[in-house]
Amino acid sequence: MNKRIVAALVLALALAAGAGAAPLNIVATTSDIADLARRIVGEEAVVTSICSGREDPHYLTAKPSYISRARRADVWMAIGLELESAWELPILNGSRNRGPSRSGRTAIWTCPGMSWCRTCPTVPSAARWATCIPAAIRTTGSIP
Amino acid sequence: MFSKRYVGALSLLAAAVFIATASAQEAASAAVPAPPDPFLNLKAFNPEISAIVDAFYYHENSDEGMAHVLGEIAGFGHAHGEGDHGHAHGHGPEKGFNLRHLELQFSAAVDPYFKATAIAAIDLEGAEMEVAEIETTGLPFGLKLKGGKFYSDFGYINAQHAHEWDFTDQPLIYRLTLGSHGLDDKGLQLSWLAPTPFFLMAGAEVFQGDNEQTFAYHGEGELPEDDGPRVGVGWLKVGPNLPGNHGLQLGLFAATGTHQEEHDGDGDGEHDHWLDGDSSFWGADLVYKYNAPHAYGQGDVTVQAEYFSRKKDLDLVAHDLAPDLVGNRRVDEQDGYYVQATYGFSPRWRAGLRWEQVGLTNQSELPSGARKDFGSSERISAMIDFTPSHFSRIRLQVNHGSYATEDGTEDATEVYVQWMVSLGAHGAHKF
Repeated sequence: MNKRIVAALVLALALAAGAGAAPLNIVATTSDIADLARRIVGEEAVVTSICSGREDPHYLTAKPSYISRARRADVWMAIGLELESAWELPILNGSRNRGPSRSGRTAIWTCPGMSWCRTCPTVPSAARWATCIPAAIRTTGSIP
Repeated sequence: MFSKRYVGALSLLAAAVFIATASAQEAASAAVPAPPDPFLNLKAFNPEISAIVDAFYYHENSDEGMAHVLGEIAGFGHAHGEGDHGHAHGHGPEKGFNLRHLELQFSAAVDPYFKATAIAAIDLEGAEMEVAEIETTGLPFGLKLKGGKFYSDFGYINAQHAHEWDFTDQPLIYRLTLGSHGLDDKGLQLSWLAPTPFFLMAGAEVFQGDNEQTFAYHGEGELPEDDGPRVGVGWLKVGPNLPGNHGLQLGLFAATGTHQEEHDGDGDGEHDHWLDGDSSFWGADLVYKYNAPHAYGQGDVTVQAEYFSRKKDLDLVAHDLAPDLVGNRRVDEQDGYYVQATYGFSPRWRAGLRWEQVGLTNQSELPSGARKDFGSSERISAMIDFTPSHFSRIRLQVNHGSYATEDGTEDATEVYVQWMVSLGAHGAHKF
């Protein structure tokens, strides 16, 4: 059921992004949301993630190559809740990508983290986040 | 649980919002209010406010103080008149307890078109406007325009604030050529991010030219001040796509501007000769970072290096003591570099080493026709720091330097114990 919500949102974003001839370029911050997006959009889009599964998404160091990837992104997907705050803004600001409110080209979509948060410990340390978010996706039934 | 109806409604709503956004943008219609800035969803406050408290204990063993030693390094000194044009507050640390400054930072997305940051540096002697910058967020073709007072983005360390440095103090070459604040001036910057599959960014900057050492104006009556803007800077940065967790950035930069000086040749406290001309510098920078697959920075490696070469080409416009030399040239050429590396040897703990040399090229051609060659100075620094969270850091640093002054070589050891915290907004870090 929740996959359908995600699917609907991603498709809506894809439409809004003015899906042209070239495949949609979706950049996700973490590999788990990239995986969700990949399963939903299939061949329709190229989906990549900034963090590999082996990196702590809270302590990632912004690399210049992330900025050039964000420049070319049609959709940017992030967990939100300040998980990526150490590096997301420099990448997005540095990318000069004008965002949906400016050109209609790139949509920024943040996961409904507040509802996922209910399955997480109340003190969101980075290490706990890293483990609880994939867990929250696995047990999708527990997400309202 | 959402029913199918909700799903349908939600997707329709999302589609409607985004299509409305896109069409509103295309039609440039004022009928549809601008949607909220997408970057704002990360911000708890508007504006985002933070304060940085940077305190340290300092000790050194030079004869007359490190500020004096650095002022006397052969070839680099005397960029400004002694006394009246001394640094307003940029002098070196005192032995004992020091408070670098309280940095108050405000930043916000102004509207869908601009973003702004204001930083006030407050110390015990007063307040200074360190940064007041406005930048565009909506220019096409990967362009961005920045204006106000800001740090030049040339090289790597110049645009970093003191609390972001991996060592407590500035690299020697920056301190000696651009002063304790680096190149931070009023001006305008246009930068371009190329649509290449790898990172390629170019920037051009124009500044008023109020640097405390290079591009200085210290002329008073004898020298009419040049009209601003007096400095132009250009830079290029390339970041190849390295596999895995490796990040690399290489840069080239150059700048040129007008430069005026006044000097007290006989040491009687009165300025007696004046110089007017150009000053320029060029250099290269390299940063490599390895982001290890461990938590809290364990195993992370950073290597950073910059080379900087400057040339001052001045004419003697007036000389009260030797009028026959007026019209002759004075040319100064100096350079320097630093190489530093840090390693996260344990979660939250880093160790670092820095090696610096200034004056590899170090010569002055005097108005009298004489040519002076000076020696080079070296400094080695080691640091160890502990970062309990994103918001605090404690650091121990030891420097040992061998400085070539006009009176011979002087060795000095310095120790810093630094304790700094950041209050408020969770600051992000650039590469």
